[in-house]
Amino acid sequence: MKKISLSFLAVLFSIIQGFSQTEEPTTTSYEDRKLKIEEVNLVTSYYHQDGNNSAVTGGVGTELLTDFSNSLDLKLSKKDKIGRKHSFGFEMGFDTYTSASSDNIDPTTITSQSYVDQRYYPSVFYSVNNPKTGNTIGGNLSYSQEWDYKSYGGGLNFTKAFNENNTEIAVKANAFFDKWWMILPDELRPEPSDLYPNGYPSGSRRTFSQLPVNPRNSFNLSIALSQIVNERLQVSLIVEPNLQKGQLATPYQRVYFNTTTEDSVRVEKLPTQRWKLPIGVRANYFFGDNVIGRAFYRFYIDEWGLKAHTLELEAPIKINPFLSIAPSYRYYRQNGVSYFAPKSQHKLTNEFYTSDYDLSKLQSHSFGANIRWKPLNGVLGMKHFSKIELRYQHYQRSTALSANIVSLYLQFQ
Amino acid sequence: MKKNMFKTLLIIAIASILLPSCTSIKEYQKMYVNDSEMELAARKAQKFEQSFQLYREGASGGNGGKTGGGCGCN
Repeated sequence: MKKISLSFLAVLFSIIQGFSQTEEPTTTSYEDRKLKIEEVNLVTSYYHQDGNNSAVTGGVGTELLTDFSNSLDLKLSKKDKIGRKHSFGFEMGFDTYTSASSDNIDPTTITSQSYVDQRYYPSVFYSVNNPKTGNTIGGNLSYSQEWDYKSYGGGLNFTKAFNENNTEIAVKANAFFDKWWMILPDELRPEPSDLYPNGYPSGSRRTFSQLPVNPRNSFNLSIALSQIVNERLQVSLIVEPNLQKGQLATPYQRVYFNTTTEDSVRVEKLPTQRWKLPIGVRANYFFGDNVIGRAFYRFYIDEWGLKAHTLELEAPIKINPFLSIAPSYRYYRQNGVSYFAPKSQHKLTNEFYTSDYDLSKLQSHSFGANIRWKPLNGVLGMKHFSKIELRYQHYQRSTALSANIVSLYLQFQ
Repeated sequence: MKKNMFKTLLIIAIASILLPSCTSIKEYQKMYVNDSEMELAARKAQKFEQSFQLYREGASGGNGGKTGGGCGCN
């Protein structure tokens, strides 16, 4: 963890140094077309949760989890001869987490390999914007890797601004092609057979390559309409249908049935397809000169019968033109899927079954605040260190799971 | 039935307030809407918060957050 933090600090200081070596731009049109660093963003966050309904142990057991997440993105741009703006971006994300419930995939060990994992996720994007037509066309590629999971993604996007830049329509299409290595709970691994003469692989470094791999693919379309309504109000509507196909059940989550036979525990089983339809609405209003109201509502429905409502409210208060404090509140409610039942309440005749409380009937409340500081001459007098944001949220779910998250966002321009 | 009627009336009421007021705002009139706090998107600092909400709840998407790629199975 220390090594990771130091690496990020090293990257951070090299960015500041890189900016400090930037020459002052001259006024010739040739110079203006040079590739330049437009923005560098660093987000780092620490997440901690606890609860007692782990799906790995069949809906009962510790959900203690900590996650240290970091992402660094770099945006470069240049203008061509006809005034179009070409933007290039690169993002590198790195998460490391410890999970007490994952540790129970193999409870015979004191601390198994699954107790801790890392995730790396680099991505790149390119877009070209024509200010004369208001059109922006772009594409992106992404990759993500965890111990037992890999994902390859790609997408295209198109944005059209019109009506004197008061209206904007954005369309994005993304596809993710994922591979999941099937690690099973210790006691549910098949006995030695012709296929696995030494027994089903545990998923350790030595046996990992022998694990079967299942696909999980996601296809996502996002259509967003943004409108400036008047000098103080702007709204947007986002419709984002999504299709997931393949391995959607988590292979190491146990389900206990209402029987005492040998067959009383199995791994989670869920349908291999899930259509999702979220519809989100945002509205931001500037009250007076110092207070802003930010509101977001989402309705969600999917093929598994899950319906959900999300409401987010935030009220940034401008202490001065450079400093704002934004208290926030979020409410979430879902009805749960019919495949869910708590431990030992499933029937063996059920076609699909899960004891994952993330899919149960629940509601959650979260509240916290965001502090944003964007001084005119840069943070701590460093010209290119343009913005710093500190955010805290407390999350409380009706299933007794609680979480806290602290995030720090630094922007360099 | 009453609930549906209430929803329909609410949508009509909101639309009737918003749509006539959709006048074209000139660039020099955008002081308030161009304020960085007025951005019509989730905050960058919310990035990882949205990820954990996606993992801890059944719903996802529609908020500019992550919709695919990566397991999130812990």
